[in-house]
This record gives sequence, C-alpha cells and structure tokens, in this order.
Amino acid sequence: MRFLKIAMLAATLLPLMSHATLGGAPSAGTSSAPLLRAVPQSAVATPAQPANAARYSLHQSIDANGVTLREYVLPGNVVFAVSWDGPIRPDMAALLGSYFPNFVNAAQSRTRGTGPLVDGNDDFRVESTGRLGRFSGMAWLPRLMPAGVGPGDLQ
Amino acid sequence: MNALKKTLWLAAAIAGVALSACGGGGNASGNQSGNSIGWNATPDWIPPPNGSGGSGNSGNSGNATPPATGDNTVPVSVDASTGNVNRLLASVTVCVPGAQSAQVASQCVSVDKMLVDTGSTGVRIAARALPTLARQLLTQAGAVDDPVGSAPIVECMPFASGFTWGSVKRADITIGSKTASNIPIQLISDGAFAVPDDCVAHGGGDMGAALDAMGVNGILGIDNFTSDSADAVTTAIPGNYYYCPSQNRCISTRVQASQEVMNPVAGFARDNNGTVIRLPAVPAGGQASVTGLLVFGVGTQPNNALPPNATVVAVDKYGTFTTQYQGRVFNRSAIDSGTLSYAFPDSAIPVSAAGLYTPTGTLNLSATIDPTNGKGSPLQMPFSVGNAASLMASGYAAFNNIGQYFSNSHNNMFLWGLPFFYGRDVYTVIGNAKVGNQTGPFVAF
Repeated sequence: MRFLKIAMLAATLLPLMSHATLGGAPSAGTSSAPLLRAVPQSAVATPAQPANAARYSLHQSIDANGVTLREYVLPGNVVFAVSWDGPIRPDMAALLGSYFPNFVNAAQSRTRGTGPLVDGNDDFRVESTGRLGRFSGMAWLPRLMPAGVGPGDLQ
Repeated sequence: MNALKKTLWLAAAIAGVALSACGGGGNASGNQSGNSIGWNATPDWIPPPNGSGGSGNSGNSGNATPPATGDNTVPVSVDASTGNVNRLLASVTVCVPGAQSAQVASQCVSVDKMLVDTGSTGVRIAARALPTLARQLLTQAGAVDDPVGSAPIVECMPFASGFTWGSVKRADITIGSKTASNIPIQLISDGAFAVPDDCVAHGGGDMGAALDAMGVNGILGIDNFTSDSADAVTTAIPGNYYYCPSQNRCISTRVQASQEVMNPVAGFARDNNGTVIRLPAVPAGGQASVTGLLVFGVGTQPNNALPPNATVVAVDKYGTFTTQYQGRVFNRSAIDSGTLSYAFPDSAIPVSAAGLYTPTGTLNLSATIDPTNGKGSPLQMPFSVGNAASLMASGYAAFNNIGQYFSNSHNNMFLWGLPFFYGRDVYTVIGNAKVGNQTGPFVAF
C-alpha cells in the first residue's frame, strides 16, 4: 500500500516540477550554462582522454530551500546522475522520479541504523548522508554512465 | 525480561554505591555491573600516590558538594542480536513525567536495545516498546506557527538513510542512575498521525520498519548538541516539525528549542556536559560480543576526566571536523558511534556488492586528523581495513576493521564509525561546555 502511495506521489509531482529528473530531461532554466568537462584521470588507471572530450555536461541550480542540485547530463539530454547538498534533503520524489521507490526501499529493506546509506544495483545506485542541518548525496544510473566515468569522478 | 533487567540494574546501582562508600570510588564504576568484563577494567584516572595527577579533575569546580562517584555510568554492548555488526546498544527506562518513583511499574517501562548514536540528537523510542505507557506520556504542543497552540507537535526526523515519524512526547528518561526529567522525546511510528507527503518526499523511506527488522527499540542520540534542529527554530523547514490539528492534517512549523527532541544528557541535573564511551579493544578477527561503558559527564567526576594528553578536536555546528587521507581533504569528517564502519572513498580497494571493502589481506591505512587545541602537529591515525565478507562470516558482531566505500567526491565525508571506538575512550562534549581550558563542542580521544 505504501509502495503504491509513493508511486502515485511521484507520478503526481513529476509534471508539476520543471527540474531535473534522474533518467529524464535536465531542468529548464538552470542558473549556469552547461559545462563541457573532460573526463579527469582517477587514481585507478583509465585511458587518457582528449582535453575537450564532452562526455557529459553539468547543470547546477539552487532550489527554494537552498539545496544545491547538480545534474549530470548525457549529450542526448538525459540525466544520468544527480547530486544534492544543502540544509535539508531536497524533494527526492521529484529528483529521482521513477527511481524514488528504489530510494525508499533502500531505507526500509536493509537494516542500516543511523549511518550513511550506500545501496543499489546495476540499475540505480544511491549514496546518502547527513544529519539535521546538512544533507548531501548522489544517485546515478550505472548503465548510463559514460565510459571511463565513475561516480567518484563527478565533481 | 524487562523486570529481570531492572533487578540487575538495581543490584548494580546498589553495589556501585556500596563500593564508593568504602572509599574505592574510582574503581566502582568499572566493575559495578557485577558481570565479568572480559578486559582490564582498571581505570587510568586514579591519581598517583604522590598526588601529582591532579589534572584528572581539571573540569571539576572543586567547590561544589563532592559528587557521588560511580553513579554516572551505564553498560553498553555490541552483539549479534540486531543481525548487524557494530551496533552499540544500551537500555533506558521511560517514565511518565512526575512519576513518584522509577519503581512504580505502571508508570515506567525499561526499554533495551537502544542504538547509542553520537551522530544524532535525542531519544527516539518505537511506540511498540511502550504499548501502554505511550498514552500516559505528556503531549508536546505549542508550536510557534500553531495559531491555537494546542495541536500536538509531530516530527519527521531525517537521517542519512530515511526518516522516523512520530509524536513528540515528554517523558522522564533514566539511563543508568541518571534521569532527565520531562524532556521531549520522539515516539517512533506511533500511528497517531498520517505521514505527510512532504515528509516522504524529503525523507525517503520510513525507518520504523527497518528498526523493527533489527529488533532495535529506538535510538539514543547523544551527540554534541542539545536540541535536534537549529534551523527549525527560525524556519518551518519542509519534512521536519509539524503541528497536527487532526489525524490527517499536519502543517510544517517552526518550534522553540525547548520543544525539540532533546539530548538526554543535557537534561541531567549533573554530569550533563557530555559523555565518554569506553569500549575494550577487540582482536583483528573480531569478537562475538563486547561490553563497555557509557559514562556521563566530562571532567565532572574522577571516572570521566579528560586526560592532559588527549587529542581534542573541535567540531562545527554539524558535528564535523577535517580528516586528510591520501592527500585529499575531507572537511565533513565525523566520529560517529552510529556508523558501523570506516566510511571513506578509496577506489583502489576491492568492494563487495554491499559496498563494504574486501581486500584480500588486511590493509593498514592511515589518515590525519588535525587537533584543534593548539597541541601542535596533526595526528596520524592508523586504522585497519579487513575483508568484510570473510570477517563477518564468523558470525561475530564486533570488528575494528570494517570499511565501507563511499564514492561521492564532493561530500568530503570521512566517517570514523564504531570500529574507531574499540580500545579507546571517546569523549563527546556538548555545546559550549567548558572542560578545563577547552570549550565545546568537541570530540576527544
């Protein structure tokens, strides 16, 4: 019953919000122009990339509650990762869209206590941390990650 | 089972008082449980015979009535009962405020398996642990934005992984021998009010069910702060505090600090400036279970003195400080008993599907913590990360070498979880409390 309620909630909120949805289009009217970023070399050896390879672009915005939202967007205008950082957790139903139930299940299905959340599968992964006053985290779709880009590379 | 525990607690408290009356006060708390503690409980705070060890009382006012010794501790334990490793547990007693005595059975309930969490603020108890007592507790009302002023205050408390939802009540909370009277607590999943949509949207998953699955009865949040939400005092932040005029209608609200769920330590009459968690060391292969002590107060009694050579690390208003690892700066680092691992990013270490590090052999790593009390050089902290899968296959519950991968680079987070606590005394000082010439909030070890 709860799952149905959550799915309905997500479905209701989506059309009303003009912002990023994981797996969907990036938000309209983000405050900064998309940045073309080269893939940085991580500590684990990855093939060197040309300096201007545009694997993805970064859109950043600050929501009404002061939460910084980052959208990582493929050239085809699909958001493959999102991150958040701010005094509260943002509206995760709107941010994660159809993946919101995954976030909910991660909290409810495994015994985590009060520590950080690191969870997911090949479809969806999430890392969520924080305490009252400051929450941050990231969610991404492994299948859509550009080749050679890991979650730790997303700045 | 609860009656038996209460009897044991009474016996332990009486034994503690008797020992201190014999003048061996420094030793009393180390052995007051009467159970065999499998580690050397000889305290290191006993002043040497020539009396030069006076620094142990640096925080003592000296002019107050000599404090009772040994009345400020409670046993804590780690065992496999939660189905998880590295979950630190303690028992509390909940009474209706103003109950004449903790012995009145109908007005008090002993609740065990409370998660000891130095990373959050406040006492949160599953309503199912208080089936008949809950309705006798006082209701917290009077939210700042409630025009009528009588609607119950209900909290959606966000944690890293989800939220707890439930009414804010007032209760007497007794931990060991110390009582915080008439403090606001959260009654988790009491079912009195429907969960608001924005609590779910911002909170994610309801942790009530997860706590049920762990067999955990609640959370004992004993961090560096007195009330849980600084922001809620000024802002009706979404997904946090509500006033609820009816079962299906809850409205976000500002609340006064005195109405917020409260750190019970700050509510004690004495020994209320912080805590010490004292756990024995465990071997590299882990240990089936561990028993230690939670001591109340820092620098207020012989058994909670801050040693002169302790490392003191100031924390910011989020309870964090800076750790450096492999040349990277993590300025949202914390020492947190509620985290079961060392949680940090290192993509060179193999990781299991569950996100725990699984190196083939145990890694001896090191990170640097900057002490902030002017004691000079940054402190190199060695720590071990073993293969979590093979360690946990033992069925043991206590490990000092479980590591967890956390990749998000701009979280800047490096958590020293419960593995850090084994074989150490970890001090948590609340707010701006003064301990000797140190001012909180800080952690020390």
